Amino acid sequence: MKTDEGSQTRPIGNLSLTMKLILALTFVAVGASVFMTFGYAPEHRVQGDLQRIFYAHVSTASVCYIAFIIVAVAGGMYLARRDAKWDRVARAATLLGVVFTTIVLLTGCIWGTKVWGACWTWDPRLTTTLLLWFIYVGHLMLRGYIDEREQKRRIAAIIGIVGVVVVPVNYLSVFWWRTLHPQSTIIVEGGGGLAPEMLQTLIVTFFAVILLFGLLLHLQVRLERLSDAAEDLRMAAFAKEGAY
Amino acid sequence: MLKSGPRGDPATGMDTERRPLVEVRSLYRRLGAVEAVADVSFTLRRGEIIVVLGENGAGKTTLLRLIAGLLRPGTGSVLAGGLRVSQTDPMSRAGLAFVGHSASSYDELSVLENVRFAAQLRAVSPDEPAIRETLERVDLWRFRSRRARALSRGMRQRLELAGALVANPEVILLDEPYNALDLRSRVAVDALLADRKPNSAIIIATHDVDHARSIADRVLVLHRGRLQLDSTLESLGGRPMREVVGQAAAGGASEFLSKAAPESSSRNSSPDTIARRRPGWLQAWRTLVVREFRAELRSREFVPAMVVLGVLMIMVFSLAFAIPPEDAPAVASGAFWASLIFATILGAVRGFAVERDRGTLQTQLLAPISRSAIFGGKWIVNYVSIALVGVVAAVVTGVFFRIAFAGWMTVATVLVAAAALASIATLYGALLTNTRAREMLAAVLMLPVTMPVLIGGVAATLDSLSATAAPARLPWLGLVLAYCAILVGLAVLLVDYIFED
Repeated sequence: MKTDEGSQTRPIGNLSLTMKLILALTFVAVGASVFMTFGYAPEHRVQGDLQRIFYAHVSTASVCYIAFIIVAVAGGMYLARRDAKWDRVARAATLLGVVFTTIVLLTGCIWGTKVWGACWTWDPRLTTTLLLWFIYVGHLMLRGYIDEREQKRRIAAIIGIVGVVVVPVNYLSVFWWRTLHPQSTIIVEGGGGLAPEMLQTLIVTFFAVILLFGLLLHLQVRLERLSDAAEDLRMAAFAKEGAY
Repeated sequence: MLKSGPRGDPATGMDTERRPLVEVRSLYRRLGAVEAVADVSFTLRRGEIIVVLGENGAGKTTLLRLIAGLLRPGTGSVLAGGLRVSQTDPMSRAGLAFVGHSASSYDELSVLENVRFAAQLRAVSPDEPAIRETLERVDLWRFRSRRARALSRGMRQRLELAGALVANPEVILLDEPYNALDLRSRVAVDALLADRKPNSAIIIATHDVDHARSIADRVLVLHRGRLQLDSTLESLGGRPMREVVGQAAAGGASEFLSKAAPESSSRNSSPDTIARRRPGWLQAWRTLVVREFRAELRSREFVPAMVVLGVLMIMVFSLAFAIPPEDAPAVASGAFWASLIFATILGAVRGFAVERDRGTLQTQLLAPISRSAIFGGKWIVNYVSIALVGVVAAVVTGVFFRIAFAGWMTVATVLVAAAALASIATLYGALLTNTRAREMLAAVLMLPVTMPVLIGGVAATLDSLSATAAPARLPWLGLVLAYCAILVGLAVLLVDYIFED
């Protein structure tokens, strides 16, 4: 156990210089993204101001995929190395992935209500996103149902790997489904028709969300480390009493 | 079909020139909060019987399970016959036998079938005289056609012993073998062990300190996972066993520990080897699958419940919706696939769970067969059950919705989709055996994963019902097949991690 565990209760105080720089950069990027979204990008001809939700929505959605790929890779690393570090990364990425997917679903719903006249439709992308959400919510729940710590980590790692493989298949299947039934085809984004200012705003927002995700992931991994340390202490105390 | 491991000269009796048959090196394993076994080292030669003593929770069972390869050591290792015992190397488990204190024989099988099953998993043919001899030695030959369900506890314990000893193991691990035995059976078991002793190394965990004196060459005492005493019976002299154990548990017998500490076995000397046999993969798979079908035919535990559940679900759907006749095909396809998926989740996922609960999974995990054979055997059984439910449910769907539903195309789709569903059910069933509320958890985790099957299945069925151009269905079957291949591939890659303990 590291000696500075105690000071880690302060969330930002003892960040390394690199992380402080990233923190500053994140603030700048998020600020720039907010400014560009509301003050720089032009108003959409048809959808008006509501279309501005697009920048955050699309950027967050891309980061979700990154989060779930991290869950699977960290799970694989855990199985290979049996280092609890990788399990903490997987845990943190699962939680953030679920949070970010929730944001995607909510922003999409707000946007859809206005533009499509419906909060929800079984569009390929929506269906896949919702399934992702369910897969990783189940993944978050899973740990609560297993008692032994090593087992918890091992099973969560395997389910994380299986989950990420399901995603492309789901995507394909729903895509085929709609292609065969073209009556409900809805084109969500058309990259070709984007004004340069819009594209710039999208790029800046994307980087802002990536930075935000990276920062939160780092902080969450530290939190998980503390929670592991707390469990170690609890277990040590329990073992001292004698188990039986 | 046999695979044979390396075999040295058949050593008989004590052989001091060679390395010991069993070498336990700094074994450590934590179970939850407890250090169940901490830094335990000792060695054991052919022809020796060690008795492990200690209070409840001292780590005796964990130690034996670690040596048998049922548990993965946190650190440290066990060498048996010079080969490291591992969960991933089936051959390393050949020649080892473990009898736990929980049942590991199948209720639905007879005494003879149980022993034959254990024998076949260890590459012993079911007609070999060894089977009859072993059963006679534990006095069960005359009960050979009785179902294990109908045995008394003592008889059951002797059956476990027979299953473990039938393949002539050279390392024998017994966890409280005398528990439920009457005096006559005890004597019989002791005689059996005395028979095996010259050619085997035997470790017995027990609470019966007085009995220990009568059979042991050496005594180990564990306390809170640590080895407190390792001493030959002679060097203990005439001191009462209870006193020795009590003193050791209190930490007052360290002089014996240092004296009998692991001999400094030179790494260069050749190990005492074990005759190892394991069945070929075809034989292993066949043995497992035949056992499954025989048990299911007798107990009728899963398939009828799955069929009834599937049919009930279709009834529920057809009563729940007011369906205009032109919509019947669409609703029928949806109802059919949803029902099949629910029946799969509730039924097939129980396969491994039941085996874990009854302790029979242990029989398979101990045998020198690969983990993928265990997975594959269960997959085949799940596939057949799901396909059967699917075909019956398809016929019923046609009746309830008054359409021609169960055409050859639907049946073909069911046969393909059952493969994907079987993969999901087997994978998650194996993963979730040790979780709480596993039926609910299984549904939460598996439903999103079955969606490609639902989407592909519904689309393929609908296409065949609406008589569109035939090629339109093929991509859907392709999707389900590809999905199945991905899941099976994943299972093959991860199978050693799935069954780890």
